[in-house]
Amino acid sequence: MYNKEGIKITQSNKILNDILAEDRYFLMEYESKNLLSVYDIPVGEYKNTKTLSEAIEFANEIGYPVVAKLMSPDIVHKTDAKVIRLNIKSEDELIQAYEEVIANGKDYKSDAEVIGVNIQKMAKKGVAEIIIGGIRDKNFGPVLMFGFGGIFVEIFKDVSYRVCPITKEEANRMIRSIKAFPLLNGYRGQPKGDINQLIDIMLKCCDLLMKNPEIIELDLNPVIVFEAGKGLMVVDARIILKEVN
Amino acid sequence: MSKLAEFEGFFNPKSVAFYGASNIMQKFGSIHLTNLLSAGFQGKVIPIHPKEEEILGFKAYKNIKDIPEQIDLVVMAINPQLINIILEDCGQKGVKHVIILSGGFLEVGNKDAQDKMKKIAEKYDIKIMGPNCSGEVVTPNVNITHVPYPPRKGGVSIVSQSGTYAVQPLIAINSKIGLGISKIISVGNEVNTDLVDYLEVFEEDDETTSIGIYFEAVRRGKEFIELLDRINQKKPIVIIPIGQTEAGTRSAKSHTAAITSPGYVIDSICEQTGVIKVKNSIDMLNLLNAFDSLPLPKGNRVAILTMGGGPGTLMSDLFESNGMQVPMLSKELQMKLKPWMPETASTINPIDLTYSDDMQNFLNVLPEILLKSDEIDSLIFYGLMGTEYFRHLVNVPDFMREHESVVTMKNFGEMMEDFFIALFDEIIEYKKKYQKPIILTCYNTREEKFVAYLQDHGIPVYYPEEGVWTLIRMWQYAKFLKSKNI
Repeated sequence: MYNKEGIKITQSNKILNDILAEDRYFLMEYESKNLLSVYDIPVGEYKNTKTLSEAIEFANEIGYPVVAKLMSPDIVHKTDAKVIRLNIKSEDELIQAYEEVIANGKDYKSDAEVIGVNIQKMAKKGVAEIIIGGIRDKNFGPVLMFGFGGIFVEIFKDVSYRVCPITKEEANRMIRSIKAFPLLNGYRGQPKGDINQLIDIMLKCCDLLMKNPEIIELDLNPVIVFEAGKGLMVVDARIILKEVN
Repeated sequence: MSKLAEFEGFFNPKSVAFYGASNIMQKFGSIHLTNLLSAGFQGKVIPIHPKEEEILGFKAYKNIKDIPEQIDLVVMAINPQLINIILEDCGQKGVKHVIILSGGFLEVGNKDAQDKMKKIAEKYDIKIMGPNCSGEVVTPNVNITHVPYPPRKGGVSIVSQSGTYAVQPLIAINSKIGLGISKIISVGNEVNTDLVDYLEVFEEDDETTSIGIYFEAVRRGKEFIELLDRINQKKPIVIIPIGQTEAGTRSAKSHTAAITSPGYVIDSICEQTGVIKVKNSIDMLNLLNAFDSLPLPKGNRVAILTMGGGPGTLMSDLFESNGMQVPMLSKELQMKLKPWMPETASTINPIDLTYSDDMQNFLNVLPEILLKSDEIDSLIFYGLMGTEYFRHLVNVPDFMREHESVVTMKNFGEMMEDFFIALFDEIIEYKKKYQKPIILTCYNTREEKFVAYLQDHGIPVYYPEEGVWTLIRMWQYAKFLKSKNI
């Protein structure tokens, strides 16, 4: 019998088991996005390219501008290692960027293994950039977090939490309970964000956390919220697994 | 079997056997036995002792298996190394409920001994409260704790992972808060009965009207949240989570080997289930007391009736900055109040008498006018004096004592007692008649007889700010029920 839930679990188990088999406890970005895709969480078009020509081919296919990020199991913090290049507008720029992120990766850690370079479409500006996060509490299990990106979370700690599972109403309350909510809701004539889709994706994140007990931390940051009816897109994702030993 | 019936042996034992009681009064076991008796326990009390024939006047047995009758509950306050041996004896005797006060198990890293205890309990189907706990109170007649202040019977039930916070507040209940208890349970290391079990009991228990939980770490987190969610819609739950800072976490770990959850997780659980988190044990008891004895406010409008401007102003600030209103009263209502107040007094709200010696107006006439009106949903008083006041007042040097004026004052104070009681009886009636919460505030404690009288009749008496916070949180709960359409 066709069982969508069953397939989800099989697929996500495979992704996580392959990583755990390497004694690795964090997912590279494309792996995170593979996993999110299993749960129908929109991550945009991306490809972990193994060669420069593959990167150029994929960039031509999805169209410029694109983003290039080095994928290495030895580099958790891509920004620190300067292995991200944004807003690449042409093939020439891509060739330069491709070599640059690989070189920067080696500078950061000389023995860093290179799995590929992730090419993705440069995200359009949306109504807001938000964060959806998750942690696993030792007593109560998965806890979902919602907040705005950047200074909102770092300085103002303007975030809300709920223990999973949550209902639609609860997700809605979570979104509305942060101080910056008006920025999502058409503040000063700005368009309203797609709150319905946001709720939907928050519920999917809960589902992902509950069905995959190996995950102890989830950080979708940033997630771009577009105008109502136009959905969301996860731009970067970090997933950490529980260390077995 | 209902959960309550499964735990019957703890709550309604007909016979209690004690290990650890001796003829030395200051021994922990002796204190527990004595406290059970002074609470008025009517069942059979049987000490078990390796040498003594008689303990504190009771016939003692050397082994529980020598006792001819059935034993409903066993209390152990002995060397932890002996516990598992005698637990085996208890099992063979057919005992089903045991309170183990002794520590020395998982909390000090002795996992093997605790695992063994669990196995023996499983073999004989014994329910254990503890080990490493402070016992239980079940009103009216069971007090198996080291605190000799049995509370009056009421609807508040508390389950606690801290033994101290479970039982030592009995001292404050006795001297100050005066709330009515149904059950207090100290769960200790939770070897085979835990927080979740006792919450299920409280849910079923008709005598329990409001529930307090003191916890560090919850071993069955998912069930715990489900229960909070379900029970809180019927009986208000107040929690104190602890161990949320680095030092607190460290302390909890060494206390009960617990790993606590961060504050934001606990706060989110409160958001989701509507349970109320408070930060200190007195706030918890005050609030549980109010839930047990008062109707919930139907709206957020409060009348403040005060003998003094300061408390009236502070109360107004606290109410209005925490989601409640101290509304200006209508002209009509003010006109009704005015004839019963001093010239200088304010009728707007707070209704400030500044000072009036007419207690009948302050305690009966004005409150009834306010409660009767549909402009306010609850009433809080500040400023009361009672007969103790006069006793302290005439505590003068000997040479003054016979002075005519002092004697008059002394007699007046004594005369006042019946007069006050009659006024308080009216207030107690208003609560029933108007179904609005009424809270009195002052700086007196139960040393003052009228405080004890009011509290024992279901009118809370607090310090001023305590009273305000209690009402604010009651409204928070009432609002939560409204949001759920309950």
